[in-house]
Amino acid sequence: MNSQTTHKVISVRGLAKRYGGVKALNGLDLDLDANKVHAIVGENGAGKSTFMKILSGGVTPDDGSIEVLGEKFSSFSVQSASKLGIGIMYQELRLFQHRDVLTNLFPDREMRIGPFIARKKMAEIAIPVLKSIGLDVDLNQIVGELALSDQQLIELARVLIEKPRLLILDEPTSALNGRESERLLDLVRLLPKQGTTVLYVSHRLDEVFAVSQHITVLRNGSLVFSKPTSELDIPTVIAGIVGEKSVESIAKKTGSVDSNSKAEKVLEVKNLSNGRQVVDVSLNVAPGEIVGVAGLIGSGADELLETLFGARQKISGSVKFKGVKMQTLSPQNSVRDGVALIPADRKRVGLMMDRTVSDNLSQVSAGGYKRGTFFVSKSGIAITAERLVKKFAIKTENVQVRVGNLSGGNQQKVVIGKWLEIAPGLVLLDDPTRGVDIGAKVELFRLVREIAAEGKGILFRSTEISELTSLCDRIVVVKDGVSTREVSGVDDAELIKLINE
Amino acid sequence: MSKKTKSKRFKFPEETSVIFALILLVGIVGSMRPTFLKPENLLNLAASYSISALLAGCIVYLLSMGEIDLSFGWILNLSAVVAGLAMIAGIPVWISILLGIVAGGIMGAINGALAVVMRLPLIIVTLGTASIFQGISLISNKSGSVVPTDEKLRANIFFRALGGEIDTPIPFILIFVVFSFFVLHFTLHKTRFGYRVLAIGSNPEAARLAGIPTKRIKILACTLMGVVSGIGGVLFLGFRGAVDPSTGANLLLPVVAAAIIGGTPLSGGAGTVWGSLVGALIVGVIGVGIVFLGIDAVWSTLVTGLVIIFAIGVDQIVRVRKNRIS
Repeated sequence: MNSQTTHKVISVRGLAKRYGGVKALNGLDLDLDANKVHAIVGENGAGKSTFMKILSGGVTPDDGSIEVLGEKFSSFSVQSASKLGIGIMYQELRLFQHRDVLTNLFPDREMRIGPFIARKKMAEIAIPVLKSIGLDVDLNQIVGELALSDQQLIELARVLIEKPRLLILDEPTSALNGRESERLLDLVRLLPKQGTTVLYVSHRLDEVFAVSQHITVLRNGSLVFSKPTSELDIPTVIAGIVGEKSVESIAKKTGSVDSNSKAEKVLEVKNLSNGRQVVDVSLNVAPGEIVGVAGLIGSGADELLETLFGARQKISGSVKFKGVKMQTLSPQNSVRDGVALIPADRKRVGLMMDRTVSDNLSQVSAGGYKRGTFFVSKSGIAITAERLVKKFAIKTENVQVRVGNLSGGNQQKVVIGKWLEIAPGLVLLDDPTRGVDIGAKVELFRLVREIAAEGKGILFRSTEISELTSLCDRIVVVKDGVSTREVSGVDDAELIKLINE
Repeated sequence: MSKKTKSKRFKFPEETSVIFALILLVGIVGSMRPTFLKPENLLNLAASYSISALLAGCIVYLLSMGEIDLSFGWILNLSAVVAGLAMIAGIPVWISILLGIVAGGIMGAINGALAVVMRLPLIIVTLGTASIFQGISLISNKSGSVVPTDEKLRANIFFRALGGEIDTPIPFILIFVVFSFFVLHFTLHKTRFGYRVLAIGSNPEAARLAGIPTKRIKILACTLMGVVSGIGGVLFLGFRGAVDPSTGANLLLPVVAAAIIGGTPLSGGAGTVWGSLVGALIVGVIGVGIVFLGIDAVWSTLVTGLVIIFAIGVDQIVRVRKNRIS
């Protein structure tokens, strides 16, 4: 066998990693050839990011062996990853926002002449790389002042400067527009010829087919298939991603709501824009209806709910709540008018992690709600909290337990509980199942159904396609900040196609 | 599942450990110098640290909110100057007192408004305003002391009481400050305003998203700090009879130390008003005790510093332990 041409860049056997009760990787066996662009696709939670993190040395697998670029490892650290020449470009930017471009390109490996930083020498290396990715920026410019797409390219340049032998790209086009994405894809295609193998992770199947020579599909931490792109087409890949869904595990819709009924809409949005990610969104929600928002990362779906709630500034468009036009959107007005936001980032903005369950459950009704009283009684709060804990079946020893000690699903119930205490008419659910295990997910969905059955309107965004198709009465598809279409009764494969088109 | 009962097990109040530390400290000094334990000595000690205790009780609000005010010493100074100059100008004493307190409130509100408008931490803003208030004080009293005439002060019952001319078994200033502590404690833990302050300190963004008017609460808390500093200024004027340009200059350490020793974390989200009173007394016992033990008074600052480090060290160990268990 000619080891020059067929050697494997990655060869893993029985790779396993679990987080608590969740199996992120479940005995993965995979061989990938060198000097190709490999795409890895799968739903959220399929194990893609765990796999990437293991390769970059950031996560230690529980079991299994890894052979990277011909070297066998039992344990794999960040040091061994960088020694091997594995470069990784994360989806989240890791740039020093307050420092200039050149400094950012050489993080902690700046060149020196004696004790002095050799900017000229660094610039000589940086300029050709920047040129090759078509990025025309002043090396002395502060990174934070650049457009997000340029920042993403700098992130890429920073990895390319190291001339990695294996380059991992995690959703590299999420902050880029069409033209910029094209440029990036052209560049990626050239990399194998320069001796760099690429692992391309993306949700966008059109890109995956445009750029890769080999596609690997993961589902629930296991390999579905790994084949050359030429033998595949988009429907086959979608089928692999979705699998035979055990949709039954998620309680099925009980009854559909007639969205055209004459009943007054809870929410009517026309041409909403926040001047940035949300460009032109129109949608409406009827009482008792669960309306889904579907969109890729960076499509504006992420920011839509926060804009509706008033956490982000609205620039133009009209928002009517229960037939009343809202002049200014702000969290305070939303609380007054009965609009609840269950934010996606529960830990950062949803909860007071160091405070008790009781304190958190009272946050909106005692702290934010206009009709709250001047005096706040601890025992009154505790009694309310105990009632809510019982109502939402929150698993906690008592209400004086630190909320940070609860499991993800129960934390999410606390967030939902604190909002439902003020009996809102509209509930904005922003990716509520993030970091929640499957059992708690089913329970959360039952809860969402119950809330809708009480006649409240629900706007539900999720990054998981199957959640949207199984829970929502209607789904609004958002692309590049614009609500392009509204569908109902679609299955997972159709919806994936719709948000990708 | 066992049904949870209301009275699980007896829980000591969170202030228990500082109270114990205070008793221990008093015991140590007292065992070496028994005269230290004379009631009138202890009451005098408490009275002379009562103004910094009062300020500590209020800085707990800002610490609970995750902020800190560096300017309150100069707010106290300038408020006292305003009140003193008003008295000298012939304005009735009661109104002069009110003017001083209002001036303090305005200064506090300015701090809060600047922090909110410029979206800066209060510590940065008050770094600047502290010098501004000091500067105004120096200009208005021409770098000299403000001494309202004796008869004016003596004509006022409040000042007579403060100055100790009306016989009370316990110094009047102490009664006043303890009463203030009841109000401060009640406001922080039993009112919506206090609830909101603690919510902002726990997680500002979560508080905002819960519909809490975070900006207004910030300005209000700063104003409260200003008002209390103003009251502190008036008390100082009554207690000492004069304001000089350095009044308030050395308050920052004992006040913040008292709050921290008392058990209020700098990270926000929690605070104990009563703890800060005990903390202020600990600082006081250190200062006075050192003199009693015949050690040069210059040592007291060093010892106070060591006690702060010890207090936050213990606090941190407890916290790390707690997080590891959970």
